[in-house]
Amino acid sequence: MLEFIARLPGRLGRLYGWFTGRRPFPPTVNSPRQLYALIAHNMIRRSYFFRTLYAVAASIFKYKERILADRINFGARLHGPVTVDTLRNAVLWQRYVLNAPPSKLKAHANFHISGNAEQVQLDRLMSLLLMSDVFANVNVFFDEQAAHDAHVFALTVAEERRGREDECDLDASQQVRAEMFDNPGWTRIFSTTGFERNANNYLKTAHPGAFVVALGLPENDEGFCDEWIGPWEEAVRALAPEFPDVTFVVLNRVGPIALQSPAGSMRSAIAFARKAGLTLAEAACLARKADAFIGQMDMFGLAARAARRPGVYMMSPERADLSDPEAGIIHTGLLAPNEAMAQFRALLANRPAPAAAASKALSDSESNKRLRR
Amino acid sequence: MGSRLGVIRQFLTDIRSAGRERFAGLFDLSYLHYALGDALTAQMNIACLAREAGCTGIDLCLFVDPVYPAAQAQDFINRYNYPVHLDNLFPAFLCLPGLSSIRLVRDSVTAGLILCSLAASRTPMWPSLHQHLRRRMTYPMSHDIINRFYAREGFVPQLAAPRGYGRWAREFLLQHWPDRFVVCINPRQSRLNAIPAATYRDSPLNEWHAFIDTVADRYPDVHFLMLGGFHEWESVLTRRPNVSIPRVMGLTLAHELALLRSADLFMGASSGFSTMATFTDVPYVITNYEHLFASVAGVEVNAPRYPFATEHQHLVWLKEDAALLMKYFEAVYHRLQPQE
Repeated sequence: MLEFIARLPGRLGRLYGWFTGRRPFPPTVNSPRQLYALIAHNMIRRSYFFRTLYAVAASIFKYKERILADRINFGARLHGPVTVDTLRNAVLWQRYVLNAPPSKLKAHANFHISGNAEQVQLDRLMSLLLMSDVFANVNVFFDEQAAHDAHVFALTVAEERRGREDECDLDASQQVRAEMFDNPGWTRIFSTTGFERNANNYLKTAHPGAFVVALGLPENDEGFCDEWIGPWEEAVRALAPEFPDVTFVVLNRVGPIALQSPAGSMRSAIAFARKAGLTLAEAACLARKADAFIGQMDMFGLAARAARRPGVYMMSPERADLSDPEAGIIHTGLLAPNEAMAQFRALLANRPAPAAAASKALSDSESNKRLRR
Repeated sequence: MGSRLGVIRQFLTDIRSAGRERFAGLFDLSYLHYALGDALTAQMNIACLAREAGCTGIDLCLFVDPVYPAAQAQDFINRYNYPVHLDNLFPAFLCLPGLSSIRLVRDSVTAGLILCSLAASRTPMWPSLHQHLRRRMTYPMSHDIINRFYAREGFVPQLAAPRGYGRWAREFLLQHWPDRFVVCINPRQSRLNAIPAATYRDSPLNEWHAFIDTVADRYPDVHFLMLGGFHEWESVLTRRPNVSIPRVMGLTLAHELALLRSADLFMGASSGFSTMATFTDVPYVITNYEHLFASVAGVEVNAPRYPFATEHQHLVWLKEDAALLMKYFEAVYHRLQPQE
């Protein structure tokens, strides 16, 4: 009894705090505002008590989902460096998830890292997943025990029974199918909201009015394309006099040595989006926004192809069936830079009218400048 | 009826099944900040408490409710642009030693089950369940837990290079700047940010440039790596041959933190990167340390270093100029040179 009386002031204080929204109001705040604050503060998930109730209710709801639902948690394995192929496979895997039987429930991803975790760099994979809205939760497990402990909320009972048989190996090559590109679901994988701003600003400030060609070069395991810059720059330089209004922008990372080389300098025939501060996700947005694409059918290639950008898409083995001549989309095998540029030259020569008009305006302005000089 | 009771019993068994030998770290961005310093300090708290609890692994949960993706103090982050901010910050959460899993939880229903499971199984966690449900955190985050751990154990756990990047950083430095004394720098430049804040804490860039040029003349074996957001440096820095900028190469925060972890010295204003240096054994000089932070960090104003710092880790309570930077640089540089 004495204990109850001793705790009474504290309880009354807490009760008062709850009713007043736990917020000291300045004297100038009027009563309706106080009432609004009370409701908002207590009911819109601001109150301790409401949050506790919400957590309990949510856990019951989620548990019901665990018992009844199936194919809402999708597993993937990673056991080596996250390379350009891994990223491409991750994009195609999301495509597969989108093609799964429709469910009203959100999909979640579970990544199991096996092998040497010191080789697995997650930054690019997470960028890709944050750009996408295919998955709500993303769990990355570095050991089996962690995966086992999380089974209550990371797997449903049906998924648990099946084990890992459906798990996708992101290091194993996945097939690109022609019908994939007819599906509008790509905007969920390459959602540009938030990331589009910098890509758009870059196009306007660095290349105003130009016909921008996104260039997706081969890269090493760390994402650097240094060793391929030289040959591609030569090929671009050969094309430049014929099309002065065309700018080529490399989407990949560039290492310190390449940045110091002539190709990495300001006056290079090619520009580097990442040098201008664009992140991987923003570079993918750039691939979708540029006027054309030329390069590997990697993550950037898929982003551009999904946006139906005209261009030359290279992959091995060659998949001519993916080509769409009407849209100016050419799929080839792996080509040397000069050969790829030769194919691209034909596309540039037959550019769509609006871009041609823009380039004409640009070249007119250039010739006016020359005249003024 | 019997089957329903069975389901309820199974539910209770399942939510109690989380092991107490694992520690849970919760980082709920609806009240915690998208800030490097806070993310790293939180991880230090988690690392200390996990050791205290004798846990073998740590599961880190990032709760991001897309409807309320950020705290009120960061109301410029909304449901449309939070992935951009999270993309920038995510690698910071890979620095936690003993990390077993990292879970990005954007589904509030799943978050509810995780919370119930942690509470029912009495899994040790940070912040406490009570504190988490209150959604209150004092800023700047205090070093109380860390200092308490140090007072008892005589050491503190160290933050590691982000998982997957440690070996890369060592090899990258060896490949590009072998035999160089690598100094990571981060002069704070909030004024160049899209949303400037506390610009009085910014570093004087001209003083830093003068310092870098003087070092180039006197110590040609020194190479600087400029860390921080792409907006934080002025373009004249790219003309200096003794400076490289990882962000210009398309590298991310993960690479920067790993490079800092492998560098010979860190110099910079009190900010997120200095927090990373604070909780490692990398020699550092943190400049313009605010008097306001002294009580939070558990040090006296003008204290030369944190209680748990090593000999070459310096706190400077003055706004830096080129001479001051040079003085501290030379002190560390000469002490760290191999004796002939």
